[in-house]
This record gives sequence, structure tokens and C-alpha cells, in this order.
Amino acid sequence: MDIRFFTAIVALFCCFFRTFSGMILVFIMMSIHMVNLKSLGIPYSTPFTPTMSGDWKDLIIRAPMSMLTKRPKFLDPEDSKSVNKEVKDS
Amino acid sequence: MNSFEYGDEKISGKELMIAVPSMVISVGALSLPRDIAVETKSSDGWIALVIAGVFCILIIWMMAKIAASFPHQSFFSYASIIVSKPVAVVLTFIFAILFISLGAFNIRVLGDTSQQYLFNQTPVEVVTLSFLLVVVYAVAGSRAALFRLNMLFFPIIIGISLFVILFNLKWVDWTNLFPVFQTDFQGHLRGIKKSAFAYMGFGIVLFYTAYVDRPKNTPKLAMLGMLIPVVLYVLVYLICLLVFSHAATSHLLFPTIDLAKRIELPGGILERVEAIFFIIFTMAVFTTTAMALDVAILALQSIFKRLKKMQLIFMLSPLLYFIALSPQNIGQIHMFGDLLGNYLVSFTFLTTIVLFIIAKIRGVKPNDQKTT
Repeated sequence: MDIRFFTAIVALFCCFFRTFSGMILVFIMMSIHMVNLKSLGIPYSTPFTPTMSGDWKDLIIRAPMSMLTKRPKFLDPEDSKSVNKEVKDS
Repeated sequence: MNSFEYGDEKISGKELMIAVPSMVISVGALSLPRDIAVETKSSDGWIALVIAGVFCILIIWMMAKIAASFPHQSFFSYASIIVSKPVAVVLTFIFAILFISLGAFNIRVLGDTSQQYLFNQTPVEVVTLSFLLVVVYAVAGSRAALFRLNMLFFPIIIGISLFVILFNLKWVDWTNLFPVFQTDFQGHLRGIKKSAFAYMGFGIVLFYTAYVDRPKNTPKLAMLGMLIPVVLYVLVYLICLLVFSHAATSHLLFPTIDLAKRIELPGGILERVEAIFFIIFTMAVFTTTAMALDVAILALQSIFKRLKKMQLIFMLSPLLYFIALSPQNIGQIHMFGDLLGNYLVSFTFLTTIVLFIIAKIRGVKPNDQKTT
């Protein structure tokens, strides 16, 4: 259930056997799990790995509102302009 | 209108473009500067690397061209159209065996190297097994997920490689570059052969083009993808040579790791950068191994249509583990690598060229059957 316990146990194991790179295997396993996840038919890792660089400005650091003029591309919207933009235009 | 679907068994051309360098960059990169410096004099190794790279790019163009003219068809099905069916069975089977050996070689070298640099008390068997289990976990998921994983890891791998190259610019000694053009023709030939080994594994294009949704511009993208490892390898080789000089490079066991060891961050905030470099490099080896196993499964699945994917995984992974542990010492590992490189590279080249020429002579019509 909990990824914390798993990570902690592996870290303890790695520490016990004085190994350092066991954690990378945990990291890879977490990545595999993340990449296999799907929510409502859309991959969990969407804007990163089906790469849509247009969506990135709303992802890690939020860009100013005036720059967010497009709707998220991964939702495949019929109208790619966001409401924000339309309000400003009118 | 709908430009993309999140179908599980379809990938975009961009994902194939990233898959090629992630497949090619593997344990070969660790010992590559040594292998080439041994065969060539002074700094001439880059010529061999570039020539072999250009040759590989040409071959990859041919592969993608053949595969793209039969969209959504597996290697086995279009090979049995071009050459006859029994020949296609043999070709696919040999590819499967070679890719399993490639995965085994990668795992073994990774286990050996990590034992040497990171933990000297853990036996190789344990390292290899734990790595193999993670690989099996990746392959057991969907195939599109494997490609997404590639795209996730690729920027990190390229980033750490560029980091190592950048922070070594301080130690560069330009006199190591001279004298240039000293190697004779024989030396260049041997160097080309060695550097072609470093590029082994690009045969995946033959198999994975079947999953590209619109394979029209796949040849261009695959060539672009192959360009990345060529440029990276030339850069790594030149930096190794400029920092260590030719004599030292040809005597180090893994010059690329030693390059990472040379890094000194300002203020000494982080020591032993080579451990971090090696750990990140584990991800590169991981993508290579996972894709090698996946291609072997794909090849065998197209011959034995009744076997399920999980059955094949459970059959192949013990075989892979057995092959990985059969070399006894580091000399035998090198011998295994040389043998594998010889067979894999020459077999891939021969198959591609023969298929391309026969398809041209017989005038096989490109067709678009939906039989994957």
C-alpha cells in the first residue's frame, strides 16, 4: 500500500549491506509503476512522456496567468484557446 | 482531427527516435575510449567513430525504409513477404537469440562494474538478479509504457553525460591531440570494427517500426535518433583523450568512469561524482536491457503465436540469467562481448542490406495490411 515503507525497507537493506545503488532500482521501479498507470485512459505521466511541451508551463512552476492562454493539450480539447484568453480578447 | 490516441500498442515517431539512442547507449560507452585507443595511434580514433557512425546511420535509414513500406506489420510478416517464410523464421529466431545475449552481456558487465566501483562485498549473482527482476517488471508492463520510460530517462542520461564532459574541460590538455593522422589503414579498419560494436543494438528499428502509428517519416526520425549517440561517443572519446592522453586511455579499464572520477566541484561540496555518474548510467543500461528482452519476446511471439507474453518472459529470463553468469572472469566477459558484437553487428548489417536489395530486385509492392 505504502511506497514509503517499501522505500525505507530497501534503504535499510542497502545500508545494511553497504551498497549505494540499490536505491536506483527502487527509483526505476517507481518510474515503471508510474508509467504503467492510467487514469481515465490518459497516462499518468502525460505531459512529460507523451511529450507535450506546451503544457509544461502549468506543471512544475506555474507561469503567469497571462501566458496560460491554451487549454491543456493532453485533454484533446475541441477549442484549444482557453477562456482566459477569450475574456482578454473581448 | 483527433491527432493522438493513448492506445497501448501504438507509439509516435518521436518515441522511436528516443528509443534508438537509449538502446545504443549502454555498457559499451564505459569502455569505448579504451577499445578504440588501443587500435589507433594518437588521436585518430574519432575518424573511426565517425565513419562507423555514418555507416550505422545509413543502415538505420535502410531498415526504417523497409519497415515503413510495410506499415503495421511485424518483422516476421514482412520478411516472409520479401524472402520466403522459412528464411524469415530463421532470421527472426537468430535475432531473438542475439538480443537475449545482448541483454545478458549488459547485465553482466553492469554487475561486474558495480562490484568494482560501488560495493565489493556483494556477490555478482545478487546484483545481477536484483537488476534482472526490475527489468522483468518493466517488460511485464505494456510496450508503450516501456517507450514512455525511455523518454523519461533519456534527458537524465544525456544530462549527466554532458555534465561529466563539461566539468572535465578544465583538465583538457590540447597537446594530447597532436600529432594527428598517424594511423595506417589497417588500424583504421580495426578501429571501425571496434566502434561498430559500441553501436550494436540499433536493430530494434526493424521490429519497433511496426508499432509506429504513422510510419511515413520514420526513416528521418530514426536517423536523427542515431545521430545522438554518434555525437555523444565522439565527444566522450575526444575528452577522454584530451584529459588522459593516448597512453593512459589505452590502459584504463573503464575510461569514462575515470573521467567522472576526475571531476572536482567548486568548494568540494560533492565528492565521488563517479558513483552518481555510474548510478545514473544504470538507468541507461536498464533501458537497453529491457528493450533487448522486449525485442526478443516480440520476435519469438511472432513465430510462436500461441505463447502468451508472460509465458515467454518466464521462459526467457532464466535463460538470460544463465547466459549472463556463464563467463567466469573479466577476460571471458570481454571475449563474450567481442563475439556478440561481431555476430550482432554483422548479422544486422547483412540482414538489412540483403532484405533491402531483394525487395528492390523482386519489386515487392509496399502494402498496408492491418496484420500486426
